[in-house]
Amino acid sequence: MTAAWRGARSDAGASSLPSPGVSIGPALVRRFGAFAARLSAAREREEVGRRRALQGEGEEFVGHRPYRMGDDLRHLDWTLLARRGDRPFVRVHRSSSSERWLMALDASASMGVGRPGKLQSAAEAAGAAMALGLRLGNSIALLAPANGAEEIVELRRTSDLQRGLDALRAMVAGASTQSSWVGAGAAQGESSPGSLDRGLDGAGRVLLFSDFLDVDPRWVSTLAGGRRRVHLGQVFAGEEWDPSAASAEGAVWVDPEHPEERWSADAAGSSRYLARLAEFVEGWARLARDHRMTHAVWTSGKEFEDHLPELLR
Amino acid sequence: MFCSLPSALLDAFSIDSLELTRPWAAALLLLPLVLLLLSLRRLERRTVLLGTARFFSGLAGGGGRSSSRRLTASRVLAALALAAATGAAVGPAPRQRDVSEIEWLVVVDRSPSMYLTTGAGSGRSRLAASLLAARALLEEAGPASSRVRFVDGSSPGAAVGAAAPVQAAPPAELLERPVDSLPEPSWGAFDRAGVLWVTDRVPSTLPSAAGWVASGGEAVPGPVGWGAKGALLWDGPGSEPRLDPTLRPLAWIGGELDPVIASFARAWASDRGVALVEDRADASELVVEGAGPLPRRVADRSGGRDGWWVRYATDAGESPGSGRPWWVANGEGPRRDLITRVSGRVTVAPLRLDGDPAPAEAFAVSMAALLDGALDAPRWVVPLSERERAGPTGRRAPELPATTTAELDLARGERERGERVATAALALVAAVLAAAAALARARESGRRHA
Repeated sequence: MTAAWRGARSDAGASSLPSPGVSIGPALVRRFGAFAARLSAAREREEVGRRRALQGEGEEFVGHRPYRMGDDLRHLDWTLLARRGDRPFVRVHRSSSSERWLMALDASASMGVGRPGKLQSAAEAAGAAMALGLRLGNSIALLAPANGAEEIVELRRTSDLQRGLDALRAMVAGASTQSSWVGAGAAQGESSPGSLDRGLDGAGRVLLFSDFLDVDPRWVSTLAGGRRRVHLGQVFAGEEWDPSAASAEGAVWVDPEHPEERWSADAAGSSRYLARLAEFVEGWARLARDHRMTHAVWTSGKEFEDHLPELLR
Repeated sequence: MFCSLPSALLDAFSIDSLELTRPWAAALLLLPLVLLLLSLRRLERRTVLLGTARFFSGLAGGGGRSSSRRLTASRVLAALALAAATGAAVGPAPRQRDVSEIEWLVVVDRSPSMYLTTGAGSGRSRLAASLLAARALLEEAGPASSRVRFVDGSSPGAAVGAAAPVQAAPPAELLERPVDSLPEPSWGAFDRAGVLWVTDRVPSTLPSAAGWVASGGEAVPGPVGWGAKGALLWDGPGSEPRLDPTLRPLAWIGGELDPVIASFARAWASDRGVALVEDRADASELVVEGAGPLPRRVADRSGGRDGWWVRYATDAGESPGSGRPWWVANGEGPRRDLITRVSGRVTVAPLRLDGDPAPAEAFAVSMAALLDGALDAPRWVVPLSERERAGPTGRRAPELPATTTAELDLARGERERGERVATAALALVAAVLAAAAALARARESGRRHA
């Protein structure tokens, strides 16, 4: 089995990949802000008293409101009901403690495929999620390359967003400086946890952005536990969904992480390829369902506004 | 009249009959050649990085040749379509000739009515009148250097005389009335450019490409039939034919004839209503003549035909004149025709019969058949349908021949049709191949996107 949450195998080299880097310009940053504002406003409008998707459980009492169908009965104010006796009210709380989000992006060579690249698409989704999390008062731990290794960039205030975006910009698919940032050791049965494993402490949510091609599903399943929520953002390039569109006259397909292996296929082979890919994606969707994770799949050309709300629900 | 497609194609591609109206279009042949060469070139297949490439592992085509040829069925069909379209584009056409070589083909109606006059008091036959009109029409329709050839339309395909200038007089033999009654031509066989029909009445079905000249003519009263009691005389429109006993065919029986034969011939003439004349020159329908003095020798031979038999004597001279032998002498020595026959004449060699032929009935039937066959139909008898009014005069100029030379033989018309069929076939082949190429292309595209 390959590495559990593998880092980059730089066989293809960043220079030969079509889209190895990450570009986040001012326009994109503005879209992040608008996205975060829109979703956080929607969250604020959510009825307090329910379990909130992106915020920790509220503890600060702010008042009452009439009970409605679907409200958690644990928040019903029995004392008030007994005193008034005419209609029930629920207690309304505001979260008083922020949540810690752990975010990690796959920067392996396969993420440099596509136009725009899969890493670019993953970074856009991560950046938008980062802006949203900070706006909601959460802290973010971003696993990012630094000084030839990987380190966890801690973001606690909205003013830290720029630092997080800089870390995303520094990512390069298949770059040799990027070694494994997650539990390769753990997957191989070693005792020392990977860098992602180290960041798990105190994380209420884990957001992973990758194509999950070399990721061990068993390791991912261990990330969910207790009250922690795991979100799996799976991105593919357009030509990975339709290889024949990349070359009308037929092509030789090369895995950027295993360039010595080449494949071609006729029409029947292409059909079987798509079946295998669909089966692979379905496997991750099943894993997410079984472990109460959220899972979203998109193509690198899609806008993050389209799929990120689904991933963060 | 119709030619099969293979023979038409073969005829059309005879080099000397074709010329290319757009020879520069042959350069388009480079297109299919370039297409084929490009398709045969081995192309490096594009290498595409695919993170999910591992899912191709073990599938058909795995291992991946890095080059391929692109000579697909659709490209081959497209190349063939281009080649065929080029063939049509160069415009193969019947070879054009100098316009000064225009040669008209005049098809002449020689039915009996053409030898009647155009009207009362007119001494000119309908044939002569229509030929004059035809000459005038052709002089207007083509250059002065045009030439004309005549065809006896009533005897299909029979050319009369050599090509001559339009201004020249028509062949004399056309103007002579045929002995037999000839039918009206089958005009449809002559409906093509460069052909002029010469007749006396407007054709019931007008030609599409040929021209026509009609002399017209009034009704011409006269004998319309004859029999043993006389001739049937038609007095004109509105009247019924009546019997005129004075009108009879004329025959002359003379020369040194055996008395048995002479007496039988006279009896036959009496029975058939044939009048005998004294002067041989007056016999317009039949002459029965003995070719020489009767032999004086003893009848030393015997012979006969049609079941009768007789002893006879003859000399050792030559056969009597020309004609089809009817009775030939038996015995040794050179062949000796005793009786010969041509239309309007029966010739008997120096011959003396010894007694009556027996049985007499067989002889009578046999001789009657001989004389009936030799008797010409009276020239003055013309069928009623021919004597009726021919209508007004009329004419229409023929289209100029496509080749500017009117071919004399009907095969030429078939060859032209074959050339048109060949060009159309090329265009059709190109269209079918192009459609097949498009279909093949669509199928390949469909497989890729399936």
